[in-house]
Amino acid sequence: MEYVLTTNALCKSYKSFRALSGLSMHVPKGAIYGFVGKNGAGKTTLIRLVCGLQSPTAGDYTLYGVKNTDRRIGRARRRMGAVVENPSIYPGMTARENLEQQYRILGLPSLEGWQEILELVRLSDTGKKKAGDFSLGMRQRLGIAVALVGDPDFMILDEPVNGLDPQGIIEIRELILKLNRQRQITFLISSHILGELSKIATDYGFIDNGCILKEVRASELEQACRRCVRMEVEDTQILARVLDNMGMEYKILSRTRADVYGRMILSAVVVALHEQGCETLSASEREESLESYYINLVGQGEGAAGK
Amino acid sequence: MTKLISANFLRLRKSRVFWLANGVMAALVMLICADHYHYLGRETILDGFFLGYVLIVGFPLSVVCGLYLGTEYGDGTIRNKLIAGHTRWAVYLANLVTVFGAALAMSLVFEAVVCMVGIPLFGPLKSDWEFILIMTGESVLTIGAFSAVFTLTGHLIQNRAVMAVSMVLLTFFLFFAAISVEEKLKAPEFIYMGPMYDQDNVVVAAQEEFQGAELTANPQYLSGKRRELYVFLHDFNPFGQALQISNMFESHPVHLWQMPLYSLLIIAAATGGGGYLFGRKDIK
Repeated sequence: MEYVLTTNALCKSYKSFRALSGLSMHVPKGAIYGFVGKNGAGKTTLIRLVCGLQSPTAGDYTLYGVKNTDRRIGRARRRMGAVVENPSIYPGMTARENLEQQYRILGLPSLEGWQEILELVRLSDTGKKKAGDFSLGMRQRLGIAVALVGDPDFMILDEPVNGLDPQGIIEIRELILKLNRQRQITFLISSHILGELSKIATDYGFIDNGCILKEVRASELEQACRRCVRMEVEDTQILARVLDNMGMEYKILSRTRADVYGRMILSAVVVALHEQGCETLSASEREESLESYYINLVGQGEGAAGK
Repeated sequence: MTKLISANFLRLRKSRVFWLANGVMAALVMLICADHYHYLGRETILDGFFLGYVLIVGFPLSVVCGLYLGTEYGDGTIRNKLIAGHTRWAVYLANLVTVFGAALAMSLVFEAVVCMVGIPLFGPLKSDWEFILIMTGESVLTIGAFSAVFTLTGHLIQNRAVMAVSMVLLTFFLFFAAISVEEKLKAPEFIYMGPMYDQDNVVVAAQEEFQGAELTANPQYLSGKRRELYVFLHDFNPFGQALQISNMFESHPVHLWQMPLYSLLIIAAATGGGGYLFGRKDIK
């Protein structure tokens, strides 16, 4: 698989505080990579490192195949756009002037395309209104518009829907999907609003205490989070035989516990087990959401850290 | 770096504070001209305030620079430049050039108004052109020193409000330090002491023509190493240089070679140190 960004045991310390401790992640090309973690987990720190705003204490990262220690990293960064925390815009300038500023920073020969960018983020009708008078959602979209100057093929958005109203959240979501599908832009989106992220992400990276706990594809996550019946029986080997005969999908968790997927007639399974001398001890329906998946993951991480 | 300079000057052109500062410079010159015309009429010698911008420009520059660079950090726009692949050094040097450009523009406004209002009112300059050119060159270097110091301050403080206040405070500190040092250096070596009466037996201030006054050494007079130190401080402080340059007509000659040397030293040290520290700084 081709990766836009990979990090290798990345560490960042601020005096005695370790914000990142050996973080390794992989952002596939064309993905919308949901970077999930609670506040203070290290999401923004990683983004600052990748954007070149700060330097790692240890470890390295590779952007478009160029290592961060390579002199060509500046050129590689030209292929990306980012909105880190608050949108980086001049409040005393109009939307058009903000774009013009970015065109000059990038040294683009003409202002060609500025109107298209403003239309894309639905700010083409703001006229002479200063960015300082924009709503939070408009400022966020202008920040994305500025990041879009120069046609980047990798965008980093740090908490893009933070503080937005429902309408603003929908607008940002649609914009991200549109850019990903129409322009094939790879996204790295950090967020702790998991419900929102689950609507667009194709890949996830779960971070806690400066470490990636797990990277998973959205399809795998859906599989892990789907509805099931957790059964507790005397012997899961007998249960497996019974379920195989019934053509059902299952996952053995231990000698006495298993998850059974899909629709099933519980009484039929219980009777079949009883006929083979295996009693059913309990059965409960389970559905894991992204939130509970994350909480379980963080719990495991903390447990591991505790040990 | 030219891309950054181009973007910076575009922003400067759109800055209301910058235009306001230019307006203040123009208004000040007209005020100075009106004041001189009121008291001295056409006897006024234009040379007395021809290079006055060098003394004034530090104040509006501190405000313009504080707000200009403060926006870069405060609104996070400095991130756009770094993410776009520009090096820290390029960002720093482009900002230095912009601040210097802003200072020069304000000085040019001052000079333009001096030429437009001052010359018709008081006539042309009396000093020889060679001397005026040398002093103008020195004033440009002094402005460069101001710009380097403000750019350094602007890149080390990330909080916009703290940055703006620090720059203004620094400006006033340097200004009053220069005035204080100049006062001390101006103290005469000898003063007249003792009972000083005029012809009507009334006590007056020390003047040699009055009865009973005796010439004695002035305890306030700086001599030896101490005087050398104060002279150095006066020549080194950009405001000390500005005081000497703006008074070129009255206190000619000034330290012609020391001041530009110190200005260049300040520019090099502030830029070298500032660029190095900015390069190592964690930007939020």
